[in-house]
Amino acid sequence: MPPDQPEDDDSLLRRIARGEEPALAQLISRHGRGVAAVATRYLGSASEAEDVVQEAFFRVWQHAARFDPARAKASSWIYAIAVRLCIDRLRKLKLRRWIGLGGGLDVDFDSPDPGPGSETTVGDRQALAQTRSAIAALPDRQRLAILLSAVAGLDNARIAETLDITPGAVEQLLVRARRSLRGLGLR
Amino acid sequence: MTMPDPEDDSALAARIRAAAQVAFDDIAVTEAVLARVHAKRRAAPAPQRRTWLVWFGPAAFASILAATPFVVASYPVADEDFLMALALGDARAILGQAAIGGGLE
Repeated sequence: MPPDQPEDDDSLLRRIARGEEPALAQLISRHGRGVAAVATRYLGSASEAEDVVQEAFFRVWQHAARFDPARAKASSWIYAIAVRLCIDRLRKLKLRRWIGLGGGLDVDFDSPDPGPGSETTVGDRQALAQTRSAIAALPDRQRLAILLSAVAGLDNARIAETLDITPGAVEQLLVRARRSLRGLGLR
Repeated sequence: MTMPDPEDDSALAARIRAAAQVAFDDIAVTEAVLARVHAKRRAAPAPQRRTWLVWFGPAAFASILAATPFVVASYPVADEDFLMALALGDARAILGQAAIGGGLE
């Protein structure tokens, strides 16, 4: 492989399966931010999302040898691991809230994030807050589908692999999510 | 039927992407994951407990099952609300009643 060409995900996973730590670092550098963004907006908590990201990549390390490139793309496989963890985590958070053991949800949902958005105007910040509230108001599955599409950049086929549903069902979720977001004033 | 405008979809996606941006430290995450990997490698293999569990597990379960009617019958809170909650399987109400009965409130 030419030295300037980035190594593909399949190759990184093969190296991880052999126990090569630098390959894991590369994979986290490539997909970690996307997984963290999806988990944060799905769970509504940055700290819970951080745990999910660490657990997801720990499982990637443990199970890399089981990855079969003939069955799914590496990115779908990684997101599928993170999504399963997110769904479990959200279920536990909701149960805790239901029995009155503390919320866990919405704790730091609207906390300002450093980065490109930090120098924006009040109007921009309000628009961000409005978008975050609208995303949070979506039903769980629609929220997950729209985040995997818009944030992770997965196409419908990859989202279907990740959520283990048909591409048609993904399309329906996305259409409903977009309609709901527009209904909440997002354009 | 009105078809969605793909231009609108991409604008909406861009807005969602912007709202979903998070601070992410890939080096810290990598270190945390590798720390777990190394800790797992260092950990001694777990003792064999399966044989013990095979015998103890069902015995414990059967004991709890057998004792349940006596515990319920001797429970200090046997008022109508508690019995109704028990009959309806309302876990939240049962917990609430149990907390009152156990002097937790």
